[in-house]
Amino acid sequence: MRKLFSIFVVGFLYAIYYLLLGVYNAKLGSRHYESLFISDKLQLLFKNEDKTLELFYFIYPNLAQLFAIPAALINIERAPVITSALFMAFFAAYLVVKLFQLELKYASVLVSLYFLCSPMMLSAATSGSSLYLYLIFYFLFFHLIFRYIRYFTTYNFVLLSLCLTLFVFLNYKFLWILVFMIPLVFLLSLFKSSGIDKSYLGIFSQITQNLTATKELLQRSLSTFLIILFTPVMSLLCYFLINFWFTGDSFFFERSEITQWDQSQFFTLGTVDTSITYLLKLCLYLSPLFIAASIIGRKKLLFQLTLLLVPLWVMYSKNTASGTQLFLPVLLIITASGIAAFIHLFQTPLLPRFKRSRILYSLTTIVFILTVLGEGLYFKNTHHSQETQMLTFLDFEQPLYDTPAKNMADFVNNNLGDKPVILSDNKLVYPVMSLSRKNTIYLDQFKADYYKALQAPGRYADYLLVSKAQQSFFVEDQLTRIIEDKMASYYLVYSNSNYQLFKISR
Amino acid sequence: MRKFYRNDLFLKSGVLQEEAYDKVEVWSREMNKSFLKVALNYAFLSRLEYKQLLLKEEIKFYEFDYTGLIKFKENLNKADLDFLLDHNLYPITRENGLVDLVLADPSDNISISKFSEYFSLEVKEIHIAEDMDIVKALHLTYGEELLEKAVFDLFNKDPKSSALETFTAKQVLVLGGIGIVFLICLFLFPIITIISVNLLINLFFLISIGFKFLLTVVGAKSEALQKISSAELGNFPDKDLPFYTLQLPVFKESEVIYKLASNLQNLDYPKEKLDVKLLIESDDPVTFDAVKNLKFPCIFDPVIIPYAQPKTKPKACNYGLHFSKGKYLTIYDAEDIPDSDQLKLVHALFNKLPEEYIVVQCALNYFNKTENFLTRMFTLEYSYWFDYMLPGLDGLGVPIPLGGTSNHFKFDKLMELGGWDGFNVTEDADLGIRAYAKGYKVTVLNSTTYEEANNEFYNWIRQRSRWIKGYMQTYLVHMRKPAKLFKEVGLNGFFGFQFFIGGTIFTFLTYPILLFIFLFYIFLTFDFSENLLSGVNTDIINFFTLIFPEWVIIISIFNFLAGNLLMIYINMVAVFRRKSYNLIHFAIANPVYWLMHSISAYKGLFQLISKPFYWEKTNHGLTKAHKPNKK
Repeated sequence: MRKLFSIFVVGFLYAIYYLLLGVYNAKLGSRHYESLFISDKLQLLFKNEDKTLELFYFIYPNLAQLFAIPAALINIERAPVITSALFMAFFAAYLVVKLFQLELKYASVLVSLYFLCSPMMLSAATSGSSLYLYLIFYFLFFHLIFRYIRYFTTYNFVLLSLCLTLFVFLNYKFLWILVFMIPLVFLLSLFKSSGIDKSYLGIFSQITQNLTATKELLQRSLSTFLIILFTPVMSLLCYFLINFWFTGDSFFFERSEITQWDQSQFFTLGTVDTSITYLLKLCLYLSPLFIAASIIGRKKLLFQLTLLLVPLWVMYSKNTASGTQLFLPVLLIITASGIAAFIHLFQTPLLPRFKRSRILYSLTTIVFILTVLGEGLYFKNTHHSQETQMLTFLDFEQPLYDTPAKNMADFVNNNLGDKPVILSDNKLVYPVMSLSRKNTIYLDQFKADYYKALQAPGRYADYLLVSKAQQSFFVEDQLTRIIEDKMASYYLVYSNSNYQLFKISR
Repeated sequence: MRKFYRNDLFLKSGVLQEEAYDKVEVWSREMNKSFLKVALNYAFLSRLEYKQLLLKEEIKFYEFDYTGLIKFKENLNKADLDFLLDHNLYPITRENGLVDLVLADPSDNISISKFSEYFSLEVKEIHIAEDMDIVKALHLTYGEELLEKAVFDLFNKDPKSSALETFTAKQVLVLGGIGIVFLICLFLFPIITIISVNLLINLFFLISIGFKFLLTVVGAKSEALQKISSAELGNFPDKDLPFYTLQLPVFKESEVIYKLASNLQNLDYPKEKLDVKLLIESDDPVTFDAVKNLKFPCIFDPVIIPYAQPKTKPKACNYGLHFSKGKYLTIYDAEDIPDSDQLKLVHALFNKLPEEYIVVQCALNYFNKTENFLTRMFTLEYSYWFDYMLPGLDGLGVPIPLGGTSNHFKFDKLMELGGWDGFNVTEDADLGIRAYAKGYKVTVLNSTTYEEANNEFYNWIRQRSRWIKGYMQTYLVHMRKPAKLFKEVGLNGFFGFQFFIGGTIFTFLTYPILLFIFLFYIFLTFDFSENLLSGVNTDIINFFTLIFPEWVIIISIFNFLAGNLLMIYINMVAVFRRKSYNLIHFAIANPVYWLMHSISAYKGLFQLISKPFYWEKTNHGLTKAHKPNKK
């Protein structure tokens, strides 16, 4: 009870801090596109009667939208930011209180500072994107494996399975990590056996010399694996099934152009370096914590095998996404596993040494400084359009990418009168839509008349909101044909670097 | 009659060895029971062997006419009855204030003298009968008053806690009122009403299953918790252990009596401190004869329950309470195989816990788990129920409905609670809730009793329908005054009760309805449904669209899929902990198992109205497995 109260108080203070930063960030005009996307879909979910089912089930990642629903009752436009701030605040509070309870006061102070000034934590908390979910779930994933290593109770596997189930609705591809977990699960089962020598020799003799024990070991390993993968895999299958029933395509949530914020990487494409060297550089910026934990726990077999999942996962991700680069949704695994690893080490027999050793105090401080600096460097060097602007507020700069959307939204809000009907393509224009849905009726893919309107715009809409021809994603705009074929008579009302608004003449 | 000497009869004949003979003599003095009573009830001598010994001595047994038994003394009190039972004596009145005595041991002059002294009566003639016949005759002659108490004591003391009245007038009024309001709403706003009901059903279903999952997670957290360490167990030497009563209610279970006899021998508890009561119904000649003819020594004291309605297990147990002498009391079924150190663990736990803890529930599991599909599913169910749900309830401070057996009580507190409700067919679950309502607490212990899983379909349906009917009775009894219950068990307890007891009934009753709607809706989304239903299809779809707007479908689909997945998963986790790895994949069949529950639930509901106290007898001894296969 006391622990819960402490978490609540500390979390509350962090929440205020993050929310204030979020407000300041938004005031400067910085909004992560994913945040705008979630906000737009929430507004549709609450107002739209045509495609509720689609909006609820197929917007991906669902989790980011689902978790933002309670905050939408407070402020629908800022709901994603409020949600990320609150989640990160209580995540930080949990860690700080936990370390404090372990009587690691110095480490607790360092972690408190880390969550106050780490570029990574600040951007996850204030961007309103799903980064906070990635961070927390990656952390939980490793945290629960480490807990199992300490206690060997089914409880941790149940929670691990739940964690992976939630991953289905965040990034289902993460379930491939289960493949890399097979040897780990096998060894975990082996180490759970009582009465065996927990050494390499003991393991070898266990496997080779006793057939019954080997059989039981295999059974246990398979069952453990089943316990871990059952709910995530079944949830994924059910999700595919739901997609199939309602759309005829099991991968609708992934293939549809309007269900993800950066479905075809319209908003992140640019001059991205896809080389391995660049990836290694980004990984290195994020890995001081991870490397330090690996060195401290170098003699622990299961610990090392668990941490090995991180490079394996990064390599796998890079391999399956050739031609593109990996950014925070994948690379956050390095930071999260590092945090989880340190928390684990603090709870092992190393704890007394942490409490006594001045060298370890100094080492922890150096790791903390290197981590913060590394994260800063990451944000300076990232090529991801949204990540580059995440910390612009620290320099009191206006973000580069959001301004056109905000300007267009301001124009729509202030100059088009009451409830104008604007025909536009949601997959490209949602940043504007999310900021101007209050007084405007958007005729987009979530309205039943959208495709009819594309054939006869003048019959259904007052305005056309189209992406700018100079932008690379212009060709993807479904309204391009209307403009190019001059299907309606229209004239330009307002334009900026990304968008143009036309008034349709009757 | 020929004169017999104990020495000749027991020692020289070789039925008892000298060491055993001496021990019986000592215990007989200490317990103030006849020599034969101790020899037969504490596993020194088998009944059949003793009978054959007497037959060899050409003794003719006295035959009782159980329909014409006459009291030798009016107003015989409980102490008098105990005296007669402890000494195996049945007095028969003769003229002139003399009595004849029926006894089981022809050499037992001590008991005869004690009788004369105790009742100040002169004994005229001696008859010899089998000890079981004497016990039966005594209970049938003098057990009437105790039987009345066993049936009506709770009702007389606390009528609101008894299920004698299934629905109170208030409950009928409330249920009727809800029905009428529903019909009016259905008439005035048919669509909104149907949607609202659908939504309510779905939400309650989801919350109930969600609550079960929460319990599993909380229960799993405590899985490594060893409430009593071996060091703590060592703090209690045998001489300091208290008397422990074990009640073993049996009915038509002659097949398992042999197993029972050997299972009890395995208990690691000093024999002389055990007070084992084998509760046999008077109209159960099969079991009665089986006990009479047991070939090997057994450790139990038979108690014959005189006939009375309702014919329920709690009535038998309540009757047995009056003859119990232990500080603690537990109930086992005849086929149960408890962990050998269970009694000692419970004693140590009671000593460790605060006074308010009055019941300890041990885990139940099955020894015939791999016999067939049913036993496998039953094992999955019991594993999650006793290894996760109950510890989960314990962890959240929610009232624990006790399981059928292996619940260990503090005897005095059990008497204070009024014993079991003879009219409730899940008297154990009811008692657990009642204990909480009276300010006491129940906890669980990770010591296991292995039982026989029901391996036959109709037998299973009968047993399950009784359990679900009992849950309905328990729910109705404790919801007679919801505000009072809330006050007594607190917020956690109240909502835990709603979702665990109420939720269990509700989910089984609604499951087939939800399944049907779900499958039908899916069917309609396929193209071939148009061909099958031809012109009607559009009308049905239109109707479905009306009563199932998209947001209701979202909830229904999520609900149904998530509910089933969670239940499958809970089952998997449970057997994983029990290391029954070969059962894990059977968890996938849980939806089928749930349908079987639904059949039982409707049978139980029907019986709740038609014959609420009817005890659906579960047949035991159908299995071919004998030993717990813990793997």
